[in-house]
Amino acid sequence: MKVQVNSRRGNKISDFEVSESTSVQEFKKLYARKFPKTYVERQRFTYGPAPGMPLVDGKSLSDYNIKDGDVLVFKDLGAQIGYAAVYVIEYAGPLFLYPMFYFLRNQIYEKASSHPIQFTQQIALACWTFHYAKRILETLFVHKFSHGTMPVFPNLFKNCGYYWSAAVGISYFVNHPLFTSPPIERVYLGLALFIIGELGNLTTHLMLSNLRSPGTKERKIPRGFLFNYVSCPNYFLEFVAWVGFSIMTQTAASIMFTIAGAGQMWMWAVGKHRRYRKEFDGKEGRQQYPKSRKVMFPFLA
Amino acid sequence: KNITTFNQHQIIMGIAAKAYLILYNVIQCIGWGYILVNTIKHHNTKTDKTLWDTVGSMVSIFQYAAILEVVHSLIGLVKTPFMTTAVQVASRILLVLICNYVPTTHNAKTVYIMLFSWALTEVIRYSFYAFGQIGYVPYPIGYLRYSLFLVLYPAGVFGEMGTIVSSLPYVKEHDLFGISLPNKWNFSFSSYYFLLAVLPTYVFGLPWLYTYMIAQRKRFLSGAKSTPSVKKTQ
Repeated sequence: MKVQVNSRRGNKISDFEVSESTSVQEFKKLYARKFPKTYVERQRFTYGPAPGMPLVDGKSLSDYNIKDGDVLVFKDLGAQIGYAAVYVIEYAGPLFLYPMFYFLRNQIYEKASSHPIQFTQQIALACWTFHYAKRILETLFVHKFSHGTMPVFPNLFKNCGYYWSAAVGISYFVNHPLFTSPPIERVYLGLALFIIGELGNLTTHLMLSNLRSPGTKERKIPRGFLFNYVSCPNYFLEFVAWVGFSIMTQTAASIMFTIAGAGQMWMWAVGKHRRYRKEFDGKEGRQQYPKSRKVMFPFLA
Repeated sequence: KNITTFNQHQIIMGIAAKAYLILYNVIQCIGWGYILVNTIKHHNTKTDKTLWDTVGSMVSIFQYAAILEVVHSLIGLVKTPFMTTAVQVASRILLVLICNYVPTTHNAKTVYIMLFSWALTEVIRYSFYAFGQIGYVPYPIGYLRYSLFLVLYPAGVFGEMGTIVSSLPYVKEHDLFGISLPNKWNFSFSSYYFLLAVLPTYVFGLPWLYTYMIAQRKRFLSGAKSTPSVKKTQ
C-alpha cells in the first residue's frame, strides 16, 4: 500500500510503498534511505488529526490502522546524541573540574600557602569524586535507557552548562584557603547522610535495572525498599546525599545546587508518578499502581 | 470527552482573573506612559535635577511591580513561560538596581536611550495585553508591537549594556553589595565581576530574542489568527 508523508505545515514530502505489516522501525529506515540526512533517530511520525498519535518503535503500521493512501506527519527532531554519551560528557566536567581547585590550589588561590588544606575539604573532595565516578559507571553499566537519543541542541549545552558551572561554583568555595568548616560533628552527620543517600541511590538504580528484561523497553511497577513509599526513591536518595554534602560543607553554592537539583528532580518525579498511575490503572487486566505511594518524599509528597 | 464544562465558581474566577489582568496591564501602561513623557521632557528641558531624580522612583515602582508577571506565569494565570518572564524581569531589575545605587548613571546618555526604549515598548506591550484580555486588539497596536522592536530592541540593549559599562568604575571602587571570605556560609560576591559576566549574555540574548520576534512579526503580518502566547519583548 502507499503511504504519504507530509511536513507539519501540510506540504507533501514523499510517498512510500509499504505493507500493513511494515514495522515502524522498517518504515523509518525506508525514510532514511530516501532522505539520508534525517537518520532514524531524528525522525518522528504522527498519524491522525492534530496532535496525532506518535508512531512508536516496536509497533507496526497495522497497529495504528494505517491504510492505503493515509497521511503521516513528519517532524525532524534535529541532530541527536546518545543518552549515555550526554551523561558521560556532562559528568566528566564535575569529575575533573572540582579536583582542579583542590590540587591546583597554589596556582589558583592567592592565600593558599598560608592556609593548609582542611580535613573537611578532603572529605568533600572524596565525596564529590565518588558521586560523579559512580554516576559515570552507572551510565555505562547499570542504567537501561528508554530513549536511545536526545537532541543535541539545546540539551547537551544546557546540561553541561549546568553541571560544569555548578562544579566550578561549588569547588571554588569549598576548596578556598579561607573556607570555614562547620564543626566536626556536623561534618560527620553530613558524611553519614551522604553515604546513606549514595548507597540507597545505587541500590535503587540496580533494582530498576533488574526490573527490565534485557533488550526490552517494558515498564513494570517497582516494588520493595523505598519504592513502597515513593515512585522515585532514586531522586529522594540523591537529594539526601546532597543535603548531606551541604551540611558537611555549609557552603551557599552547594545549598543552591541541592535546591536546584531537588526542584528539577521533583518535576521529573511528578511526570513519572503520573505515567505510572496512568499506565497501571488496574483496568483491563493491568496492575493497579499502589495508591498510597507518594511522588518523591516518603509520607510527605 | 472533549467538551469542558465550567461550574459557576470557575466562571466567576475566570472573570475575576480577566478583570485583574486588565487592571494590571492598564496601570502598567499608564505608569510607563508617564515615564516616557517625562523622560523626553527631561531630555529637552534645562534642569538641575538628574534624569533619575525625575523618573527614577516611578521606574523602580513599575519595574519591581513586574515581578507580579512572574507570579502570574507561575500560577498559570497567563500563558507566558515562567523562565522567559523571570529572566526578562530579573535583567530589568538588575538595571534598576544599578541606576539606584550608582550615582554616576543618573544623567548618563545611555540611561535616556534605555528608559526611552523600555517605556515606549512597555506602553505598547501592556496595551496589547489589555486589549488581548477583552478579545479585540486594534490593528495599529498589534502593528506597533511587532514593528517597533526592530529599532527598540537594539536601542534598549545598547542603553542597558552602556549603562552597565559606565557603572563599572564606581561599582569596583565601592565594592557594591560585596561579600567577602571568610564567612559562615563560604560565599563571596563581587558586583564588578558579576556585571562583567552579565555583559556577554547580551551578545547571545539579543540575536535570539530578535529572531524570535521577527518570526512573530511574520505571523502577525500574514494575518495569522492567533499569535501564540508571546515571550516578553525587551
